[in-house]
Amino acid sequence: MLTYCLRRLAFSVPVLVLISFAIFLLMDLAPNDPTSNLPMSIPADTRAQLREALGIGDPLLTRYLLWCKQFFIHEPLNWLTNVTGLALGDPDRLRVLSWSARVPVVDLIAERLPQTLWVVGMSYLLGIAIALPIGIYSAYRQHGWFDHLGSFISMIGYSVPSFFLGVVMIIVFAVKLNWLPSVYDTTLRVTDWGSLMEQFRQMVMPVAILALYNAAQISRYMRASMLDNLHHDYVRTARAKGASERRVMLRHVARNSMLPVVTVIALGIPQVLAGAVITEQIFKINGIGELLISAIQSGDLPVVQTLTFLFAVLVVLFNLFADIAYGLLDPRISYD
Amino acid sequence: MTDLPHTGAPTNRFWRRFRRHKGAVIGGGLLALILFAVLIGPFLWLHTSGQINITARNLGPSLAHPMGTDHLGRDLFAAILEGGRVTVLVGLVAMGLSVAIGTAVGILAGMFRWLDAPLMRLTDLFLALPVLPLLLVTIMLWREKLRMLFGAEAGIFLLIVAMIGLTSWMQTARILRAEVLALKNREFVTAATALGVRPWGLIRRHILPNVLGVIIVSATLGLANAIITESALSFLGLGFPPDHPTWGRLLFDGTEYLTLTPARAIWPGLMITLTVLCANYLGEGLRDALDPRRGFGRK
Repeated sequence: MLTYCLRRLAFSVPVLVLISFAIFLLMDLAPNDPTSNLPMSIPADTRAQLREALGIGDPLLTRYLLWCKQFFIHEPLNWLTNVTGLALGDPDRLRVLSWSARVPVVDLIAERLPQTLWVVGMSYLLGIAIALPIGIYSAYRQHGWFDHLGSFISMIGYSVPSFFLGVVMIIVFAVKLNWLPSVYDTTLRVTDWGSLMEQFRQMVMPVAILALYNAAQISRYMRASMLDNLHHDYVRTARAKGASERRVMLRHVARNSMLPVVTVIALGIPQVLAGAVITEQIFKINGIGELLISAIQSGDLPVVQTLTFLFAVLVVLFNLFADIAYGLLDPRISYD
Repeated sequence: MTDLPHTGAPTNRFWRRFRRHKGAVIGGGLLALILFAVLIGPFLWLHTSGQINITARNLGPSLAHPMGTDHLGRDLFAAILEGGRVTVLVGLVAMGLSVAIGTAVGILAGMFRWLDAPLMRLTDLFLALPVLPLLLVTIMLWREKLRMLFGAEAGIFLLIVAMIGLTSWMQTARILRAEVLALKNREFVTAATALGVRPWGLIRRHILPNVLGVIIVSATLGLANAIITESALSFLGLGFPPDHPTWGRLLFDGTEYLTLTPARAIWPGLMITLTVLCANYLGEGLRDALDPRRGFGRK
């Protein structure tokens, strides 16, 4: 198992290197000069610094390696310095700076990440909590009314784009009924009961939209996986032993059906994070998705590069998790 | 070769099963209706989306304007018909590209053993790409250049279609590879190989006709996916320019007038949802009809 994990880990390194090169190349080969879009208000010396940081004029490979050095050596070292308080290496190493905010990109992301994680995380947990029982019961009573209703709703949840559902919810709950705020206020600090309720009210709509989409997807997988398992011999054996239906379903079938679903859940996390770009745009949540969009609109290349690469790292990481979790959960699979 | 008695049966069985799936029949019918409407609707409808009529601003639905008008008195129904044309065209072309790449990669990987590993690693690599951020970044970087080369509308059309096609072929490739691998072990393929049929002939005469059903299902689901992606890009302001509004762009423009005329956001959104829902139902019904063992889970 350990060798398998190490081998998988080793395989993801070249994948990440390739992706980082692709992202670098995409930006580098793009027709417009990256500094030409910058606002005129940037002073000349900063502009020169930026060009130096980008290394414009060097050969392609040198630029790529320098970018890697900045990204994989300087930034982690800085992070270590901040965490441990020790001075490691040269303190004025070149950092990956945002062009529009003129602060290190890492700080910007650290500032924006909690909002995204909070909303997306809640919605994902809620989605899973809704999806699993629905999937189990739909499969148990296949072709029953609950199954039909469940598959209809999940088809809707799957097909209605989140940006449309968000707009409809704003029209109904914010404009017409005036129950919920349409803009997510991230400056809100939860200090007492009133502000807690306020936080709750502003989270309802974004969380509900993302949760519906996640629940729709996961419940389909759960149902399909349950149906695959229901007709196995072990289910008949469990029933013949005299186990109650509830026990057969939850202890035997649901547990076995969870295996592929766990993989799906793990693989879905990066997608959901990237998909939050849209939800954040609708409700004006200033999370990383909003950061990406505003960086794209203002041509802030370092932020865009870092965020895109971060999303790629997440995808690779959760792929790895999914594979390893599958091996750990299913003792029949041996990798050695 | 002798004619077996049940030669015509599979097609009949397919139709019988497909017709039983009510959602798929309704979905297919509605989808055809929508395609037909956006194709010939703009020729037949009284107004065009560009006609400004200040006296008829922000109207509700009426006989003359079934979906109402916007802040310049332009007819929303005309805009929906014309925008639908672009949306549907993007969806169809991007889906075609994605299915073509997926089919080529899947069949090559399944047929030729030496291509299998590299092509499947490539597929894994593409699956590891963060699609939405990458689409946004590419569009931001290449939009201007292509606009200058091909004109405002054609440039962004080519860019969006190419990007959606290039980032959505992986599922098709994986499914087709599995199908081809299973087909390769069947007797008729062995027989054809023994008779000296070349690999390309084998693909054309024996493999392709047998995986056509899977390709059609992929195409239907791909259409839904392409339309959603294009609308999301337009909604984020990185899709089509405002003078050639697609449904996503109309929805995006409509969100600024939510308090005044919410209909401007609802109609385009409803059209996107309806089209995607129909395509998904159709794809599901086709798949169930082709493979009776299958439940309704995806993949």
